[in-house]
Amino acid sequence: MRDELLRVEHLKKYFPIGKSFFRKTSLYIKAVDDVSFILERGQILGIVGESGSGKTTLAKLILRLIKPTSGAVYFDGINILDLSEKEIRGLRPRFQMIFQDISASLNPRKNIREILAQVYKTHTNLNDKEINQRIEELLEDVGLTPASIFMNRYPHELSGGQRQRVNIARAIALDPELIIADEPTSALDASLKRQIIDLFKKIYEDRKGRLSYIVISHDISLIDNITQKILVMYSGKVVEYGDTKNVIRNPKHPYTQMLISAVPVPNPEIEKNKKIFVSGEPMTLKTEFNGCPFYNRCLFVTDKCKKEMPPFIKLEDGRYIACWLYYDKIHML
Amino acid sequence: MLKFIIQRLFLYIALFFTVIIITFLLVHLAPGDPTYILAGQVNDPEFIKAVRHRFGLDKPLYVQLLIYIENVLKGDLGYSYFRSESVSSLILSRIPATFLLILTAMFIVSLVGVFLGTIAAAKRGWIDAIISVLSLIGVSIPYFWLGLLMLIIFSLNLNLFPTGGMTSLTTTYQGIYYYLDILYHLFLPATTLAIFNIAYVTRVTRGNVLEVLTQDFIITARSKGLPERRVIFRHALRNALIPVVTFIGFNTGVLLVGAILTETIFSWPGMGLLLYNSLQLRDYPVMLGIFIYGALIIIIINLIVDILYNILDPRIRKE
Amino acid sequence: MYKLILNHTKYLKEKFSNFNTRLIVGITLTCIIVILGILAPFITWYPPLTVMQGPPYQPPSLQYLFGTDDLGRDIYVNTIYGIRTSLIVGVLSALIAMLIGILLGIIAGYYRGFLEDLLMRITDMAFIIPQFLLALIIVTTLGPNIYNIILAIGVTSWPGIARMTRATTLSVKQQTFIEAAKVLGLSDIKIISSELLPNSLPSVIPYITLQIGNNILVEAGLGFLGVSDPNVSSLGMLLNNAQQHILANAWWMSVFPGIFLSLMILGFNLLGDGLIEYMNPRLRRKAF
Repeated sequence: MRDELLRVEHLKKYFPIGKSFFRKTSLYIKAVDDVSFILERGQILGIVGESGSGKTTLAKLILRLIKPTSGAVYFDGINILDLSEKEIRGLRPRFQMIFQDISASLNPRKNIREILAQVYKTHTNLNDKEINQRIEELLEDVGLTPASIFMNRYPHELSGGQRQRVNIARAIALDPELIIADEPTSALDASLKRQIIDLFKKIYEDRKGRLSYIVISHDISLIDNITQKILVMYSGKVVEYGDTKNVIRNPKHPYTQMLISAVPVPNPEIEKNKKIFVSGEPMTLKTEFNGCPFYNRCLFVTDKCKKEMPPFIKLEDGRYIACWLYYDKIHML
Repeated sequence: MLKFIIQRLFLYIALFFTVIIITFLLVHLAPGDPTYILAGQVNDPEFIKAVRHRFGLDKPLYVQLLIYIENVLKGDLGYSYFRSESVSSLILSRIPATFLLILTAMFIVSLVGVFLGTIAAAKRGWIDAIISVLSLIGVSIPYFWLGLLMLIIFSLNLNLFPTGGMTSLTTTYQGIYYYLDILYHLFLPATTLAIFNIAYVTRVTRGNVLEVLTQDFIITARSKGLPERRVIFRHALRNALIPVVTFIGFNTGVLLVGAILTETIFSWPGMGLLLYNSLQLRDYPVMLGIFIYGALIIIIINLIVDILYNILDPRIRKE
Repeated sequence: MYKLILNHTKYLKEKFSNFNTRLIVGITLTCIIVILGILAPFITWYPPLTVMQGPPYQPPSLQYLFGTDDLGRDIYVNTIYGIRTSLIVGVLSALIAMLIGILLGIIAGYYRGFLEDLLMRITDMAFIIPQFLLALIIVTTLGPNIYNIILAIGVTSWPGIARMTRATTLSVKQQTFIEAAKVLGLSDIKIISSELLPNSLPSVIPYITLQIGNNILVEAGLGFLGVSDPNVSSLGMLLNNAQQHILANAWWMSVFPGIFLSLMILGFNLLGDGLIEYMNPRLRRKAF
């Protein structure tokens, strides 16, 4: 039996447009539309998609920062949507998030020590001395040495890369089982990217088996580098899901193909001969539309695509895909 | 549109009721017998008995509240012992004078404020700076002090204007001279009331005109070849109308208070002076009555401005 | 390593370069006034309100710096003590308004939804009723002593602060570190007190300063109508007196108290405006 850490079932989040105190509306933006997947313990999952595909919303739904319109989220078998405020607060140390906005994630009026100490004070009974000790170890773990200097610094006194390390430190402080990293390297330059990726890997290795990641990014090379499974999202729906290597080397869904084709490859021969077919922009799903959201940009579009959303089906190589092109293959999820 | 009006109406009615309830509460929170508040500091036992009866002061509290609300809605706010008149009629008789003062002041404010604001925006440089400084100072000086100063300078020492009242005490004029006499007495108080508000309107107009100048002006000037002055003023006026209306509407409370204080200085026979005299006499029912009437007036004007604004607004958007 | 030092000095330089004229003048004026108020007993030689300190209606002289009034009271002494009263009333009433306003503002801004709508509607309505009238009625019914005055003014000046606090709470709440605090499992109260308030309060402080200026004006206005604590000297009361005896043509009775009153209000207004500009250099206006 697989060791399930996280199970997401038919998660939906619709945002109503134009609602006010006096009017109800029937127009919704489908930010996340029927997403389901399973994350095993010790697994690293990557979620890719363009901006607006619903990745961040999905992350917030998983962490219960926002409530879904329908669907369920099970963490270690526990239905987190059923829990009370207090219960979920107790559960928090087990799943953490590293946010997209590196600088805004840190309270500008607190120094690093205070920011990290807050975590321990909320969930443990350690005294100040013990907390400071833990913080020192933590800072060294993420590469912010000498710890004593960094503890007294304020966020605005740190560089982007250093701030991200603080974010990471804060996330791993209480030994979580799941960390969701939203665009962890997008705001950093190339050399820093490398360092942070290495840090992520190191942390993962150190806790082999105990820690899972969900890495959200639009950077395919990052996903390729670090993840084992990949989830491709478009306009709030999952279009392809499978082993990272498989999906990236051999993308099957037209959208995934488009994404991969846009990634520059260091080999000039391949780069020159590659056909890039990127066009258009994703549309925001509104209530009336029931077809495949990619239909207006898809090179292989058929009439059926516009009318009906293809179901999620399993292919021979183990991946899942939602596309009418592959419907002839049998297995349904 | 209609929905909006109903919504606002509902809120304003709720507000008015809150005002009545607050007044009621204060009457009963006052130290001592609420009768004294409702009657004024009076020694006449007959009168007091009458008041007790009228307001049902022997009955339980919530009944009293209902009686009070009913009375207010009927227009019965009590009776002023000191002036032998019902509070309502007393106040109503004074309202015209106050309105005259406020309207004149607003007239002055609109003219001068818009003018100054436009000049400040158009000329910039040192004129702008001076006007801005004066505006800032204008907002900080208490108008009652200003009134006193004006009285001292213009009235006592320069003998240019009368020291108070609406009409001369010694002679009674007829016909047009009657109105001129009033105007003569009106000048100082209206100006005093105006100065404070000019500062505000100037600032707002300046802001608006600045905005307009950066857009339309250049194109219009080039295409039409019109003299600078004409273009500025035409645009200024159109854009100044809206904020002035808004200003008067939403600042009615401030204006009313200003009027009260100004009337006190110049003995202008309006609601303000009535309030002041009542304070001295401890004629509480009149004071409370002024509060309720004042609130009512402000609420009505607010409602009108709300509706007006709603009408003006979409039209502007079409432009 | 340098980078750290560079970042830090850049930060400090930014903080100080935002000091503008208004702020400086505002701070100076307010400080002078406050010092005058505090030093009142030291710079005057007899208590205020004492009648017949000297002959009535004396113009300013070396002996009676600001002259005397109709009852022979020394205007200089009464003015200085009046400043003290104004400051006490202004600051304490602003504190009361702060407590009410900030509380309501935070609840509205943090919890949003129906509660926010309700509170904001109430605030809108509260704005319509003139603060002065309401305070007047409260003081006259409850009795004209200084505590009632402070209470009345305080209880009527919360709407502005509430609105402002809600606005800043909304903008701070959007920032990621608040979300991060939620993910870390902090309770609502902890988030509000530890993360939200320290970041939103600084923006509210300039408005509190302006409110102090406004409250001083209200207190003086009340005094001008005769509503003041008879045991305390008040600038408004001095002006009231001046008005009642205007025909005596004793200009010193109105000019001196008025100048100090104006300077006090001007000081707080400048300070408040200056602070606003200091915190939002982007909103700097083109002239003045």
